[in-house]
Amino acid sequence: MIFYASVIFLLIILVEIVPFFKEKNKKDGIKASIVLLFAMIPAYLFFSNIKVYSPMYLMYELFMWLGWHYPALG
Amino acid sequence: MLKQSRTISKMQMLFSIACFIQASMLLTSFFTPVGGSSSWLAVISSYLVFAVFTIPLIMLIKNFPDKNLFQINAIVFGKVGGKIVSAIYLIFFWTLSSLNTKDIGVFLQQTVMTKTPTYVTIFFLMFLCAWATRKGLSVVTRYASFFFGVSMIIMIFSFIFSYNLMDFSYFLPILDIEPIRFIQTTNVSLNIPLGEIIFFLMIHPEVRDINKNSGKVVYIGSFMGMLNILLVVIHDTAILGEAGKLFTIPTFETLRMISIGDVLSRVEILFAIMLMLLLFFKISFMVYVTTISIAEILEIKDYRRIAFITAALVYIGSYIQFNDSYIHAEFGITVAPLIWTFIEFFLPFLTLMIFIVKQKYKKGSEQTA
Repeated sequence: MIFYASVIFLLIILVEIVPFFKEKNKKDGIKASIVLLFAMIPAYLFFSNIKVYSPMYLMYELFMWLGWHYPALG
Repeated sequence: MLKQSRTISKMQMLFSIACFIQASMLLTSFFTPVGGSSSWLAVISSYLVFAVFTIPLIMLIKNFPDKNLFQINAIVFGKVGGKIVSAIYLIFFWTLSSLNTKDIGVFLQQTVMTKTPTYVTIFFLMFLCAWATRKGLSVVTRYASFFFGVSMIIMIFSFIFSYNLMDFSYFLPILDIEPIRFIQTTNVSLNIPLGEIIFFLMIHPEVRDINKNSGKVVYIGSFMGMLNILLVVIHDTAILGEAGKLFTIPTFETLRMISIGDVLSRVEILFAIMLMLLLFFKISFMVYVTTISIAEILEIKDYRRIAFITAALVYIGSYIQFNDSYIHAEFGITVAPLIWTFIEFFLPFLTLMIFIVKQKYKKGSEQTA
């Protein structure tokens, strides 16, 4: 999976990031690269079998811990 | 600031809302186990609550016909405050897009393409969604009326075909559940299909003449979508009764039971086609909204250039949101209704209140000057 993910990310870089820098629109290029990093880092961690927690999962844990929730089905 | 031109009609928005809500048919399994045979009443009561709770959303559209939600936040909360509130919405949009993507992947693997891994089906789905996003909102919403018509026809036919399997005594005794369970079912039904129309506050500047009759568009569209959800809940309860709690996709199971004279069977494939059409529409719309949200918050001039990046973000999100489908289901029943209410109804209400107070203060200070 890491191989396939790398190929897809490379294609995205070529199709979406590189044109920004070609047009000398560095500012938007850097912003788009940062967004891509938000996808790449969890992807590589996940495919390397390292557990990644999403913001909503952490909210779920927090609300459960605080006891702010509807009763579960049981 | 993102420039959004008026590209779609009010009719397209109306059918988009209907399709968007209807696509949550798969998620009826979030509230039917809680509400049991009284779920249909909870669906009706949730629409009544929605009719009141959605007034702030409509007022925001009327007051800011040329500004999307993030631009409204910037005006009302200031530059920094607006970015913080917009970031909350962005995480919400991304989460919902990812969860719906995961749902369609799991649904396809469980029902239609059992041997194809979900990462393959989701990959192609994401590619199509990103492609549609690049072409703009008019392409994303073009087939909404067609999808709505097809799904309505399939739903009516499946209702007729399965009429002989229905037992309306399953609806009795009415409201034989604890009040907290009824409130919970209403809350889940309010937030998961209906409240999600907050997504439309990102695209209303692209709708022609939205300042006129925006309330009608929202109410009629959501009513059409909700009617289908109600039909599904009634259909499932009338056939499965309390046993419906045992299935993850009860409608699919009920349609499996249809056999008319040994000629017409395996009708469930029609339901699968309908769900695929609707979820494709919903996810492409969500990817579009997430893309323009990222572009708006980061001030990227052309949102089309980050469509594939957003699709990648949603793709990986579908894997990391909830690894365990049991936790996902429990989250949908116990915690999501509370968080979703805050984001879908409380935040827009707060935005409107601050805007009204600011306007009054401004008028007052102008008069004294």
